[in-house]
Amino acid sequence: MSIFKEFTKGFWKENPVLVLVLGMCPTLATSSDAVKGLAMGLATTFVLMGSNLVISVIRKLVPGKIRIPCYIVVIATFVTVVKLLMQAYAPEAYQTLGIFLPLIVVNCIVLGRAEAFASKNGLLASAADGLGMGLGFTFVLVCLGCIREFLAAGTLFGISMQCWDNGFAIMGQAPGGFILLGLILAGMNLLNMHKAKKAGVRYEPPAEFDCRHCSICKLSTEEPVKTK
Amino acid sequence: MKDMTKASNPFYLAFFLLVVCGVSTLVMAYTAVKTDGPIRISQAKETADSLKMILPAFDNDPAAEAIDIVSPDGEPVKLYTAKNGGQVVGYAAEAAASGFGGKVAGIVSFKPDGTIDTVIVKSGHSETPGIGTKVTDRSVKRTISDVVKGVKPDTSKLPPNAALDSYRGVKPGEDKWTKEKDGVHFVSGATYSSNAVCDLVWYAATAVREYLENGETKEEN
Repeated sequence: MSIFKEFTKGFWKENPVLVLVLGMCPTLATSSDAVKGLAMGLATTFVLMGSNLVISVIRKLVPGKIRIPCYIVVIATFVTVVKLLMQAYAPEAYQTLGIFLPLIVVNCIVLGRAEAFASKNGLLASAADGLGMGLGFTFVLVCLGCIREFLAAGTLFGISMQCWDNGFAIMGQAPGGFILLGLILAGMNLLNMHKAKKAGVRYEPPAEFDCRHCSICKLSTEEPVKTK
Repeated sequence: MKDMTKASNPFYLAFFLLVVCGVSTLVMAYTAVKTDGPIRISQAKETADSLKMILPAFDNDPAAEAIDIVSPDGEPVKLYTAKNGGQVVGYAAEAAASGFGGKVAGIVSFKPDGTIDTVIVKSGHSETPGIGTKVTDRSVKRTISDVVKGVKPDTSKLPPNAALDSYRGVKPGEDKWTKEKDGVHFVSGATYSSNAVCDLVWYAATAVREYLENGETKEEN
């Protein structure tokens, strides 16, 4: 796979939120408005890229038995650096993110990419993967944030769209985030199924998702078509 | 990793972890030292900007002369005294109360006799956008037509907020303000946020009242 492909897969094919369904806590908590989502996304992108880079450099030195603690220390270092930098130069963003900024340490996207990608791939590929995954995460957070902010308060990035002032209050809270995310995931599955149907192949979820116990994707095709 | 004896030797593993932790500590320490100054500046700037907005013109440094007092309910309150030419022109008190999404901190300014002047809620709370923020935020309302027309927001004065402004000119009585009593504005649907603002104004106002009643002798402590 080329570097460019490693970069772009984070946006759609392996999007951390929509496909891998990782990092739900920060996704739901910080996508209540677009600005918050953007700040969280960019902070996570920095951490992801930095930790991926360092981990891919030290991957051959780290003994397998203690790789997870080493990765977490690297990630925690980057999070602390981001936290201090934001506190100094972007205090407003720092305050809106509150507790969710230090919680990037336990964001499973970051450790997931370290373990699944950076510990097996070279420097450039890992950096591209981190940047792509981070920007994919940011993209989803900003999209969710825009929709939720618009429905809840009638604003986008804090600017009133002059439609309504009192929207659907639930969209501003976690349940609204869950509902919206669920609808988006369903929509994405629908799209993937349609594509597969047109191509004459049954939609097969990637093997690493471990879908043996669930056949919900297969309900769309009445009769089994030839599998790719 | 090829060398199995090395990779599974617990002392080697401990040593390796120690090295990783040591390096990361150095990186964090370096960043902490480098950002210490800017963090102090930005924190001081927020307080100074807020005080300048809510207090009448003063020539001392209220933030540097701030003292810690306690409200009758036992809540900590930070008191800023604004002086102009040695004369007290107003007080400001910083207090916090629990809202819907955690602590809500605010600064309340007072006239020299203890009457509430302006209430502002500090940024960094996590009240629900669009609901709780109606009570807490003095945000400049920008609309899409303003942006298209290129109208610049007016930043010279504090944007109004009906809930926060309803405390202006009020003096704390014996009991805390409630919904039923006139004068103070609660926003329906944002009960928790309204209560938080009411609480923090109450803590600040009663603390200032006590401070004024006891004279300024306590200041020496």
